Amino acid sequence: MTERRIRHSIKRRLLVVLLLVTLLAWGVALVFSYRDTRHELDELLDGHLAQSASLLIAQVGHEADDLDTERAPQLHRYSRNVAFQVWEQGRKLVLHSASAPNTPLSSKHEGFSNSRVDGKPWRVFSAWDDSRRFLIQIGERRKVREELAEDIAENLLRPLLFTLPVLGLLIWFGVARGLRPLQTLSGQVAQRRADNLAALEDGVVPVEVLPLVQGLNHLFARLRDSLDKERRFTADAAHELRTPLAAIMTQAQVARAAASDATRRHALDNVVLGCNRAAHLVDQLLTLARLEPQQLQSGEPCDLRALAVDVISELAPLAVQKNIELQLAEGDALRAPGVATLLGILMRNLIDNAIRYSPPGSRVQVAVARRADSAVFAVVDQGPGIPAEARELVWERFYRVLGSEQTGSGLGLSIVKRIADLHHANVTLAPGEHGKGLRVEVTFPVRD
Amino acid sequence: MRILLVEDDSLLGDGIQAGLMQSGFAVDWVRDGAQADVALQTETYAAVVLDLGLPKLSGLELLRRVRARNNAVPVLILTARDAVEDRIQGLDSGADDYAVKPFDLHELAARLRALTRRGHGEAAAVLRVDALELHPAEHRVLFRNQPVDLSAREFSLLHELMLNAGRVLSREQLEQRLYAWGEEPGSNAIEVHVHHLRRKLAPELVHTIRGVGYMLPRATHD
Repeated sequence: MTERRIRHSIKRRLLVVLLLVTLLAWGVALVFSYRDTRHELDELLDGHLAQSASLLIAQVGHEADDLDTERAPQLHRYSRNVAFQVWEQGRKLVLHSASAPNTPLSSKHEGFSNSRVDGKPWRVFSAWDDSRRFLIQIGERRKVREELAEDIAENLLRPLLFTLPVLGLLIWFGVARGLRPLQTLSGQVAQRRADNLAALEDGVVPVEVLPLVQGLNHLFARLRDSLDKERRFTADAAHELRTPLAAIMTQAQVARAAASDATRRHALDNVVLGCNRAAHLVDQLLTLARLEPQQLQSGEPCDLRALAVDVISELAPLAVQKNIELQLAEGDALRAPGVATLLGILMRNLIDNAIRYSPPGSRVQVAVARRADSAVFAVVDQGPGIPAEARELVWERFYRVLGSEQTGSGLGLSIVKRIADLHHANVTLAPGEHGKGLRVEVTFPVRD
Repeated sequence: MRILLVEDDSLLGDGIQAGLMQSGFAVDWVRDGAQADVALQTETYAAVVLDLGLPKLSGLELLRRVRARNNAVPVLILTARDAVEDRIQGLDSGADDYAVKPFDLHELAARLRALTRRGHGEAAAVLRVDALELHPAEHRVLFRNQPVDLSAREFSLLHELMLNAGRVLSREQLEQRLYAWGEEPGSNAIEVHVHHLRRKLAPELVHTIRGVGYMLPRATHD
């Protein structure tokens, strides 16, 4: 089962957030204006109650003597919700509306009160006439107010229901429009050919997208660089292989046309030698190619001395064959953080170079030593050395020291340098003992 | 014909030297530009095979120096770079031809023959003087339409004489053109070879100009 991931959508998120915020603001405003309206409404209706009461008092005062227990006629259906009572001395009901009960609307005899009549809530205003003979009670069912308030609330809410979808649509289009530069950008990137690493236009890009464009342009520039480097390297490598190939071909043709066995044997030996050389070159190229993209993870501590012993044992036969004295200086185990296989390649290249370029009967000294807060791996030979002016150039790929009979790949020191760089180590070239030969030192930083 | 080979790669140099010698060339092999510069100032070569990536003095720089000294020796460059601009640069620096590594040895020899032929103002691949016919590529000599069996050195000697027909070549000049370094001829080697040529062809064919040298006369009816 593939796990389905729901992608974030800026558009969707903006829409939801904007709508929620709008709703919230609207809601808060609604609550406040409802409460306000409710309050105003109460005051207004209370005022009506009071005014009706004073009208009634005035009326009762004039016709006090005609009052008998009677019911005023019901004139309007709405009047069921309003009622009044006139009590003589507060005890005898002399006049009341059709909707009014026979019991007092409220137990309170002065001012506003909330009471229950037949189990329903009423708002009642009570007042005495000036002679304090009659008690006027005039009430209104609270339901009337609730209904009014509900109407008002509904009127406030209704536009929201219509405008909300419209608002959503507007936000949707607005956000889409705002995000268009991103779409344009992704379109440009998607349409690119793989080999087009030119910088993207950043002239018309909005501020928010600019960092993305700049980031992409930096990436493109770096890619361009590394592609160029790779192309150059491939071309160089192919050209370098042509010389051993030419040698092999030529020697093979010489062997084929050879008149004597000795000539043929010599040429065939050279064919084999040429193949070995080409193979060595290919090996070195592959080593270098593998090193290129590799990022050194935090290396484990490697025993440089143990590694040196391994490499020296491996190269000893070559040294013996060339009658070269290969030796490792005495010392203790010395650890430096790194990748053992890479450090082995570094040491092998340096010691192999030293043996290759040393004359028979000479000595190659290898040392692993502690110096201040660094570990030093050194190889000293008694060969021709490297002239001061060439010491910077030897790090270049395929550079060969002039006039040397040896046919190296020209890659050895490039590999050494690359591995040293990966280990944050420093490589230095200097004359050997008594200013003769070559001393190569690789200095590894050691943190305790 | 004596060729200067300038090649720093030991295997390739060894192979080219051996191969060109099989094709009848005398080959001097130097391994860097500086040595080549000296050799070109002291010796006369029929052609130069020049590798471009050389120690001490680059091939192109050497070529410029040679041409600056007004030395018109035909130069064939060996290059690992086959991009058009590399070839143009080589030819514009004064090279006459180029071969891209890896090359065919026989093609290299053929190109050198073509270069030396043109250097002598000859257009034809086959040299003809009177009743003599010399095929450099096949190492074949016909005299009065009959094949003649010559040793490699005799063939080279006849080749030089035919290339310079009508001109006197001194013994030193002939020695220089026929022998590479390390194969120093005996004091009378040229006389011996001339003697053999006269015997195998016709006694009157090669003229001796006393105190000066030898000459193959141009055909009278030319």
